[in-house]
Amino acid sequence: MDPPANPRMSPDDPALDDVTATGVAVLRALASRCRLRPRATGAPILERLEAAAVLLETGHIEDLDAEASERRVTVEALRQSEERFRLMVEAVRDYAIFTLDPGGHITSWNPGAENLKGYRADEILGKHFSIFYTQADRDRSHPQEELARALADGSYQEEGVRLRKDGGRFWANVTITSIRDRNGRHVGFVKVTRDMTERKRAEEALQRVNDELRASVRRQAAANQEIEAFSYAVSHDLRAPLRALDGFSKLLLEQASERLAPTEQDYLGRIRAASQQMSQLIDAMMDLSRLTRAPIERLRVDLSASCRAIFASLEQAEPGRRVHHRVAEGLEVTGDPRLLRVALENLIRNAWKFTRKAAAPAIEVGAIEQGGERVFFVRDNGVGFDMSQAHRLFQPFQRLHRARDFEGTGLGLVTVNRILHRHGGRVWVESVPLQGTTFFFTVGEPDDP
Amino acid sequence: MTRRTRTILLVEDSSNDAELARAAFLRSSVPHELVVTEDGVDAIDYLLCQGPYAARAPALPEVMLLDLKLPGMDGFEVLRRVRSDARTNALPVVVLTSSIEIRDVAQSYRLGVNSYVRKPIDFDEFLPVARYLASYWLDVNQPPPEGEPA
Repeated sequence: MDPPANPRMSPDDPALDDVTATGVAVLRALASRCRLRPRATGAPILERLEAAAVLLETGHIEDLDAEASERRVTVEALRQSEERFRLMVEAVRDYAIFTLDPGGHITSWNPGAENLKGYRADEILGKHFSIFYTQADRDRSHPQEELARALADGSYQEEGVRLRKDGGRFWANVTITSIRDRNGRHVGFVKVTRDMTERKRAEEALQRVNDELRASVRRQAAANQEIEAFSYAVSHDLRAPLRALDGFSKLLLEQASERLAPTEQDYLGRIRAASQQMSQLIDAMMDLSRLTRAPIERLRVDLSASCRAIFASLEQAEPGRRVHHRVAEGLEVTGDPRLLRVALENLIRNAWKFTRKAAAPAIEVGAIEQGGERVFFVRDNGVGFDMSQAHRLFQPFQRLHRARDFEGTGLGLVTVNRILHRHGGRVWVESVPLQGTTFFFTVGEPDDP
Repeated sequence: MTRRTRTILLVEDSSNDAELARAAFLRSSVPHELVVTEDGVDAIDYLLCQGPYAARAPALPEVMLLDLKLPGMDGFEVLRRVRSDARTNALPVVVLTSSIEIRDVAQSYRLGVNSYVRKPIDFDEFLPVARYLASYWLDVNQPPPEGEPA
């Protein structure tokens, strides 16, 4: 019998009743079969068969048709969504994504898993996932424990060593999530594994570098301590003989002066002067080594006030000298008050010293803006020097003048340089012989404005 | 009424420094007896009248001048022992040293020193220091009463 050209009948067709009855019967039969094997078909199909039977029976055939078409759309959407999901999982190469049944046997395997673990899907499906664990982990039932915890808490995460097919080890970040169906029944696990070996190596390398750095800091601190102990002992032990040289020369001068010729008295005077010069050198070296080690404080420092105090003490020490001096107001910086005071003292004492032979000695302390930076200066109209010698100025024990003209330790500007350098600033000089010298310096920016 | 000779105890291992101190205190015109001990153990023995000093009349000096850098027991340890012994804890102690390290000054005061004085290298500067020390601790200062440990 040929099928009808148009399966849809007119609602008025008398044959419809029979067809309807048959359809309803078939649907009912199917539904009852479904009821017998609910697991194979699932509740939704059963429900839909029942609904179809009711619709058919009550003559709402058009509704049934619309329902079916709607359902086709839903099924298509679902299929598309599943396809997208499958493609996504397959596209992921950096993560192994696979599923386990409730017992831990592998039920799906993405290319990322193949990439990471080295097994093809056909080799691994159905195997137990403990194959990825080290013997030690298997011996302590760690894989089973992971599943138990994922089941109890919903998911479980850890990092640890895992094995590839070739036995190679890698550092894995693992997340196991238990899956339940809409009725809450546990149906298995999804396991996502990522190879963290590179990160782990980087962390270990970083840790090694940190350890080395810490060891180096410890060594440096120990070395500093040694230097400190050494320079402390040296300064103490160097001073003791100087006290003897000076003291006994003085006693000899006093007690035997009548018996000593003027030249002999002069010799004793020279011994005393030499020991005092050496004592100043030791003090300067101690200062230099101290300020090289001491931590830098960051406080507001009023340089103007410091300069005025320094001039006052110089005037007190040499009341006979008349030096015209001017200090600009508001010279403020952030830095170490004690160290900056030492730097200023060295610069101003220099200016004080080298203007000794000037007709109208003058010293000015001020600041200018240069390239967006505040540059301080100490200017004198003293003896000056040839700029071709300027490079020697900040070297230890280098002196540009004869000691008989201008005394000094050869460490003052080294100290200034070191202090400003430690602040992040710098110092430089401009000079014209017999006209004067200007020292410029910056103090640098504090770390925390 | 005659007063017993007032005593300065100098703890100094350098015979040069001890000799210079002797000369400087002689010029101070303050009558005194200068006792020198060369190390810390000797100084403690002197203070407690024990060992080589068992026979001396038991009296504390008016002041002890203490160098910090000493062979064996250093100045800090001497100070610690002096301050922790009821027989000596009231003794006026002046640290007399070439160190001006801040931590040495701080540590000395922490341990209860009465004064901290730097030994100058220039003997001309040491003369007034010796004069001040002698006149202050022997003439001006009221020493702790004898036999009345604090």
